[in-house]
Amino acid sequence: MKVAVAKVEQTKTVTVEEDPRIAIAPEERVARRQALDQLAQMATTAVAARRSITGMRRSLNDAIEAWKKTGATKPPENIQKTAEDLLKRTEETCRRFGTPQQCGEKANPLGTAGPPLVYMPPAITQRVLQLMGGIENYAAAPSATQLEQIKILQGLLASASVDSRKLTQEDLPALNKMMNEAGVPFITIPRAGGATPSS
Amino acid sequence: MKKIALAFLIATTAIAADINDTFKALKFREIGPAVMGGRIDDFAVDERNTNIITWEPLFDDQPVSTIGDIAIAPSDPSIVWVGSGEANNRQSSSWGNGIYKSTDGGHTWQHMGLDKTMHIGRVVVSPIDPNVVYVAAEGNLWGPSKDRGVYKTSDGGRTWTNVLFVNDDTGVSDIAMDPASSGTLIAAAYQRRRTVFGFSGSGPGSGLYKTTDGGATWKKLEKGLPWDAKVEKADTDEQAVKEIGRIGVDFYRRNSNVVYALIEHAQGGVFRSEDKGETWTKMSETDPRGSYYSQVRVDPNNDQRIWVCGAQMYVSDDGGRTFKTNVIQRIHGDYHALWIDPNDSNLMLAGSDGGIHISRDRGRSWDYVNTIPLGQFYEIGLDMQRPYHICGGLQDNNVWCGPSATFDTRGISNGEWFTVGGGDGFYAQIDPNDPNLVYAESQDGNVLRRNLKTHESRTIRPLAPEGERYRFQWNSPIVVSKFDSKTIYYGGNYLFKSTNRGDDWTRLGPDLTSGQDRDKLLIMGRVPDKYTMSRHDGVQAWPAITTISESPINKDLLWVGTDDGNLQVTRDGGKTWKSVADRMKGVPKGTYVSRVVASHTSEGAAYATLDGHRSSDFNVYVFMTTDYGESWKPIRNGIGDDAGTVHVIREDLHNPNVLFAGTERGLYMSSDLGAHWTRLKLNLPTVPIDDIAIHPRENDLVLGTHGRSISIFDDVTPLAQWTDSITNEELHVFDVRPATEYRVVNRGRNIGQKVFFGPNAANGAPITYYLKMKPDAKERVRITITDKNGKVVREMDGTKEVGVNRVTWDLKTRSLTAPPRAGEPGGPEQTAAGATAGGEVTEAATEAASEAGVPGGTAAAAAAAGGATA
Repeated sequence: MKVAVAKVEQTKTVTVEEDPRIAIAPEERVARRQALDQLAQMATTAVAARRSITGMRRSLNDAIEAWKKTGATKPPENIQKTAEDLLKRTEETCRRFGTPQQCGEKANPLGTAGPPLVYMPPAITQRVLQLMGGIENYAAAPSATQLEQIKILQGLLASASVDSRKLTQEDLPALNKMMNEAGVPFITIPRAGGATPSS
Repeated sequence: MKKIALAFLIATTAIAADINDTFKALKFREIGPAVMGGRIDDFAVDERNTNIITWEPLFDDQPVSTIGDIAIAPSDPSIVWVGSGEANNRQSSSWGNGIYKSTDGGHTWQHMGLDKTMHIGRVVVSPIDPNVVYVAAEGNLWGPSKDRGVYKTSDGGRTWTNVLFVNDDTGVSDIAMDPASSGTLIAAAYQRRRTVFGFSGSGPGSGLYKTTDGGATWKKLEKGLPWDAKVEKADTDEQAVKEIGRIGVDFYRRNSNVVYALIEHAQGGVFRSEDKGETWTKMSETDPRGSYYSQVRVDPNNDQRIWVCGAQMYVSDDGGRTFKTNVIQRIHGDYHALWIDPNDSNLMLAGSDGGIHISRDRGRSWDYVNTIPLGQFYEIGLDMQRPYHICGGLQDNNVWCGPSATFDTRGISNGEWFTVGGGDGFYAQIDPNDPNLVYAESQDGNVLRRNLKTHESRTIRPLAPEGERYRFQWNSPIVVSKFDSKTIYYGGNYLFKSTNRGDDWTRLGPDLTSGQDRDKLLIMGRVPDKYTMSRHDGVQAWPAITTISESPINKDLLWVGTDDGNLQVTRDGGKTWKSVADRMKGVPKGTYVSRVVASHTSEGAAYATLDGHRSSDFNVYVFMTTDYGESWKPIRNGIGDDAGTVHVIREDLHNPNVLFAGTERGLYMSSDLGAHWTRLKLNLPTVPIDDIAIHPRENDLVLGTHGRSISIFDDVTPLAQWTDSITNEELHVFDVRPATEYRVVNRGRNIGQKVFFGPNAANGAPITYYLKMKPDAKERVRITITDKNGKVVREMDGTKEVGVNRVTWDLKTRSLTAPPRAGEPGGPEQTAAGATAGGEVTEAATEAASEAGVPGGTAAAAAAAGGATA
């Protein structure tokens, strides 16, 4: 363990002992650790993707809503249409990473009692974190079901990441190019902490 | 001379301020329990608001903690008076330093004098003028004094006049003000004296006095009272008439002609007056254990309903002629305080040795306030479970055991604690090799061994040969040998040894006390006899052993101290003993030895504390020897007279230069073998520290307090490793104790304010470091954890206060799940490959963990990849 401040640092050894109530075989511990490492990376990917795609959706939505206001400067129709189409596709991908509310759906004004009118399966991010918690909170090797879930989620995450990457790295830059050529403020993906369209 | 004294005071304060400031970020954990309460001496209620739900401490940082009485000014409830020093006359009673006043409802306090009154039984405030206050001062319990009687102020406490003084042995234990005439008061004078060997609770000085001119003049009341020569006596013995004990008195609110008195006397009992105390009629003989209770209350709405405090609560519905004791059930007895709502007599507060109780149906059912940790521990013992458990004995509250931490994130509930012995509880020791074997001790040598698997117990009190009687102290020491846990020692007037866990005993040598016969010793000029009230209350036998220590280095080296001032050492396992108390210069012969502790690093070294307050000697005595007691060096520098006497001393387990001492008013530590001491206050309230233990594995400093249950300073390593030279370092990191990765969960949910949980230790590895300077705002204190292969498993930001900081690594490897740093574009393609690079605990990481309801990977899990240690 190292503590550092400015250019000064000191190290000490920390010994970590297992909870005396826990009995876990070394190979089980290895399997559990491997699963957690896998899930930790998947969680990092998923959380980052969610942050990116939800940010993009919010920026797009804000821009489109701004165009609708009375007296606002409207971009050419083809740009509006492209933006609305991109927003629709972004929301679809967003819901693979985030909750409906994170992806633009308004909260039920009557509260959260009762099931939603339309069932939405949990997002990949949520499933990854839940699975990680399920393994983390029980000192044993992951079950076969849990390992199978990891594989399933890996596939879903990879596919969703491709779509997300296309939206953020290809489609949005293409829209921005059109907007730039039309002299309209382009759209950026907000950094962590928030951002909006810039000129 | 005055200049020298002032300079010393300033120097002492400066050292104390320094260590408390340096370590201010570290706190004691007040873990409770709150299940058994502690002795409540009085209530004061703002009768405009009787909606009593939660309680908070108001007097934690005052010089003393013992309180005899509280009074709220009827005309201005923001004015509160506290008379310090309880008035209930136990061998363990603490002494105060006068009277305090608050003008903001108890948030801040000002000491208002009467410094030497020591024990205050009652404070009454004029309902007309809040500046007029009367104080019933019992005065020194242990010796003669002129600082007792009734004191009056007419200027809000700036000046006081001793308006009633009887004699040097007689104080005033109670005073009642006529509700209809604030200049009329009846005071109960009380002659009593405790000594180290016994108690006399009576004398001719006691009696009832009345004033009708605000204390300017007093007359002794006699008509109809036991000492009235005209009253026919069952016992005509002259001495019996003279022996007047403690008296309680109370006016009836709705008709102040009616007054009741509870009188401790051979012809005593409950007395009623219908002419403001001029004449009295005996109603009954009811008067339980006057020296300890003597509280009588008239129902504010019914002069026929009388309440008398005792081991049971006595209630009469016929003006005190007959009493029932079965009304109040299912709460702890030994009542000392009782308040009855004048607006609704059904609402009552009862205070006892077991804490606070509230009734809303005139005593038929009670709400026990088990949310305030008030336990009055005498001694504590620790086991080696994970987490370790603490056992300890308490004043009138059995011996209890409970955990130092739990696996429930809410903390340590009262329900985790359980009793292992009865009576007043004292020593409790646990077999270090078997946490299911507990030795628990009650007064008069009643020691038992309990099997916690079955909760069966066996009495193992050493039995004297036929025709002989052993003497045991109220609080007799039991020690489990460090060399063989089947071997235990127990102290009576002899030192006893057992090699089979107490089933059989052998005596080690002769009677180790002076063997004095207390029945030949005087108290206030007389040998207490059959006429004496409360004779030797709470002192079963004398003299006897009070403390034992086995050298951790040499099993044949044993030390014992006694309550008559003997300090004995044997180096041959008890075959021969040497008395070494007389080598301590400046200590009066016969001074009670409160603790002797053999050093664990140097065979000839030992520490001793002595406590002479039961002989009216309030000096601080702390000594050290390095030559088996042949010579002793006083080591009290820095423990001022205001610390109170010393109960216990302990040597740190890793740094033999570090000592801890518990006194009547707080905790002290020394880093230089006692050459200098500093009070360690931090968040610890002012409270008697009766015992100290250091856990050998966790290195926690555990305090058994006499009034605030158990407090723990987690991992005392930084204090033990502290030296002044550290202040020259920019950064100093203290050793980190081994950490256990406990799995903890929330086992319950929200259940309101009427529940107590003692806090758990922060789960993980406490990382403690010193910073000489506060880093710049942009500078970070970075804590990096790597596994044994050098792989970074966690990075954290530390706090950056000047002084000692403590951050707990929760043993999680959460950095692996951390998303990009705030402010970075967060595309998955940018972060997936470098997930461990940033490593900060960012908001997003917290968010991710929070969403899942779980943390990231853990250190033990990391062991799979990187090994078991980091």
